[in-house]
Amino acid sequence: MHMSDALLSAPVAIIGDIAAAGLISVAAYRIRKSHTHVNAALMGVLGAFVFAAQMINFTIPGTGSSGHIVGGVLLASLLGAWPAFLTLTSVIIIQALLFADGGILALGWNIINMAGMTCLVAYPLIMQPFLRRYRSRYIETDSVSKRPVGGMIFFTIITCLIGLELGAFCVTLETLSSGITSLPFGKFLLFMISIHALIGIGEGVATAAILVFIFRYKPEILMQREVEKESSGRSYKKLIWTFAILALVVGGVLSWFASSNPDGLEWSIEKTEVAEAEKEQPRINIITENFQNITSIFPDYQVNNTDESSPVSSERAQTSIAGVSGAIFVLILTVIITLIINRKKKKQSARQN
Amino acid sequence: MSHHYIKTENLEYSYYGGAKAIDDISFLITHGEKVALVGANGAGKSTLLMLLNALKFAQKGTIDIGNTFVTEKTAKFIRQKVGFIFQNSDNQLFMPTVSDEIAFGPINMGLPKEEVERRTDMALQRVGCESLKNNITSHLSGGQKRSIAIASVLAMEPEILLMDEPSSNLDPFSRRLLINQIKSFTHTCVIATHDLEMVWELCPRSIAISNGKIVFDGLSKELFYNQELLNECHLEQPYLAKIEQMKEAEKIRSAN
Amino acid sequence: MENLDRVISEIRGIETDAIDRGSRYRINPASRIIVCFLFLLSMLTFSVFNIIDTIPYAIIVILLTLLVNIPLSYIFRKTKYLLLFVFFIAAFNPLLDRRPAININGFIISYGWLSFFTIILRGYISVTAAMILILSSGFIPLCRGMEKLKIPKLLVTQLLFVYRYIIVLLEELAQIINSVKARGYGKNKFPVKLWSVFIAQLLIKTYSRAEMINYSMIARGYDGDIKTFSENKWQRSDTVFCIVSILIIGFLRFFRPFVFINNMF
Repeated sequence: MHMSDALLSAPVAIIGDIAAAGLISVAAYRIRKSHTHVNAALMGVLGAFVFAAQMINFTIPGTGSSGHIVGGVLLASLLGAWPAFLTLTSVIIIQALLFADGGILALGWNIINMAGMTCLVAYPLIMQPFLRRYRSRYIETDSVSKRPVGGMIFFTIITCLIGLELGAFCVTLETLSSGITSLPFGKFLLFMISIHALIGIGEGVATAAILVFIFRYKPEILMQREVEKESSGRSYKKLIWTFAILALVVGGVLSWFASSNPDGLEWSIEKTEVAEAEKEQPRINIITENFQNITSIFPDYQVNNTDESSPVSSERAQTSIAGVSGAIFVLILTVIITLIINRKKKKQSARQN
Repeated sequence: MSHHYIKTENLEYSYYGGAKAIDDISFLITHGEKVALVGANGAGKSTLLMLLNALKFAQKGTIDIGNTFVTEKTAKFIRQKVGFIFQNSDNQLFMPTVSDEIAFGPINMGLPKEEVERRTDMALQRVGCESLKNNITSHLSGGQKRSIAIASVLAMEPEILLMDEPSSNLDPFSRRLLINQIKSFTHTCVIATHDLEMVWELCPRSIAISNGKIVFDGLSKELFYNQELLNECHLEQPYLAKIEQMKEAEKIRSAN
Repeated sequence: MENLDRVISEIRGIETDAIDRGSRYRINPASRIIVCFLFLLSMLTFSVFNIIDTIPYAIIVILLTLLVNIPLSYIFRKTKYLLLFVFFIAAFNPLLDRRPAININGFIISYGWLSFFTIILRGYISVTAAMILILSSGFIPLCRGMEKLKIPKLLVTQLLFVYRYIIVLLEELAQIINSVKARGYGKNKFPVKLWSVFIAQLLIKTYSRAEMINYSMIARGYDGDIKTFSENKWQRSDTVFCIVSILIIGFLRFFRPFVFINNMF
């Protein structure tokens, strides 16, 4: 589910980055003020644990394929919502930096889609109340075998499914509002939701298996209550508002700015009334326009206000192709030169050894 | 100087489930002594060390370190006076680089930057690892990690050193380096170990623990010749002791 | 298993190779992060159909790979599967968006194709930029740079911890898996029942480890806040680097070199 930068437009990416930054600040604040059994060492090593766990795939029966867990619900069950969010955030950042798994500008939305949706939405809504009831009911029971695990399995699967589906839904929204794809909203969403249903159930089963094992053999890990000292909620609400406003402002500025972006072909337009007419056209905000498209029933995706419905004249085409091919030529030349230099370097270092 | 003593009286510590890990332990270790703490796995050695370092707190009994009793209030002070070197160096070294790791303790003590740097360099010198100053912790070898762990504790300039199985998992070369390092220390040392050859070289006195109780407290040499005690503590007589015994027997035979 | 070994040695390589790759240039990692961010951001402000203005970005990152000694083959190898999702999404564009954009004597290139190529190219540019950033700085200096940029200390500490213990945990996991394979299990993927047993084992071990690490921290005076002295002072060379980079990015974004060149003819 890791998105690349290529799937986002500048305003959408920045809004995600600012929103994620806000959530991270809130998380840091909340963790400092509460959570007694969670410490830096535990969060850190569990982050490394999730990373390692993601390296080993489990087979999904019936499909012949395999997958790995994301770990959001598992972490949240062990650490609580906010510490789990921060831990998974660190894993996502490391994946982006060390393994190029997900883009740098896309980190914001990747964090929100994967860590935010599982730890901060799905878990508190579904898993957390269940775990609280479970703990209070069974905390006195010594006999491990007496603890029923059916509920544990059920709620874990539901939580993982919903968490991942929410993430998939967000990916769809982000990609579409960036104006990257011509895919119609309905079909794209349907596709993403169905794929992630399978992944969500797989994650749910895997997470449940681990939680059941822990409950059977080392229940004290899961029996630790999240002791949240009641800190004044107001102090971080201000933080949230600050980030929300910042996100809207920067996003708005960037989208206005970006909406004047040309598609690279406008220099092929002859400098006639056509160009003049262009200038008079109001700049339509890409985001608002795309929202219009999402709600429209037309399957075709339209982006700019430039009415390019008619085929371009051959003269424009000549200059168009000249420009684009020129650029491509320089690019290919650069790649070839680089490859040659790389090979020379390789030979040099081989000779030295 | 007289402050480097450890005095425990009727120490008791039980785990959460109720099982006693430490049962009525009393001893006195004086300044500069190097004492070995021996016993089978699970006898309570590590727990005892953690009690001495104020990482765990006894339910009964007292620990007096240099005229300060170990309580939750005095914990921070005690932990600066008493350095603890863990069995698993990977758990002891958690900072990204070696210099960060060694500076961690002094920075927490509130020392200024120059002093922290001086102590870092000094500690690295004591363990002979000056070249590792900017290395990444994860990339160190087992022996190097052990040395850096020791350096990170030395940087706090403790008076007493506690070591939990320091020679375990070390190759012979690193082990020899470790023994030489410990020989050069003037601190009071309590070393929990199974490595009786090392005890022979370093610790004139041994305390043997079995099931949380002290079963022997005296000269190490006496312990080495007591087969019954060695068996109780799941230990084997060190070769040097065997050879000494054989020499003694030879002397007696040739005298007759 | 070979997979795990490869991952372990790659992670090790990042720090040691960074010294060869460019941290000797002594540019503050904080400024590298800012420049990388602005570079990619400005690229994304262009329209998705605008391949002609995306190409200069590609040329710049390719030239940078020469500067920091990252072979292009390495990049292609690493991104073999990662850009699958991107490719998949982008691939629909030529099918769905057939509005003609360029007409060469009857051969029409649609907007869909333009966006397809732009997206793919951007994917590669983004990945390459990230690699240049991490491989030329090293992860630990990069974290210090993040701290300088006021990213919450708790997160930076978290990143450093994860980085510190990744290799340790991967090696532990490798041991567990070896013990399974030594008993005749041949495949690299495991059914959930088996998988959950050793992941849970790893989790339990991780908890014990966390407890010991916490003790280690407390034993050296940790009181909840990891204190470090800030290094990497911002120097004049960093300001120069930032200004020059921003000028170059501005040049790419507003001056649009290829369009300019084209308009000259």
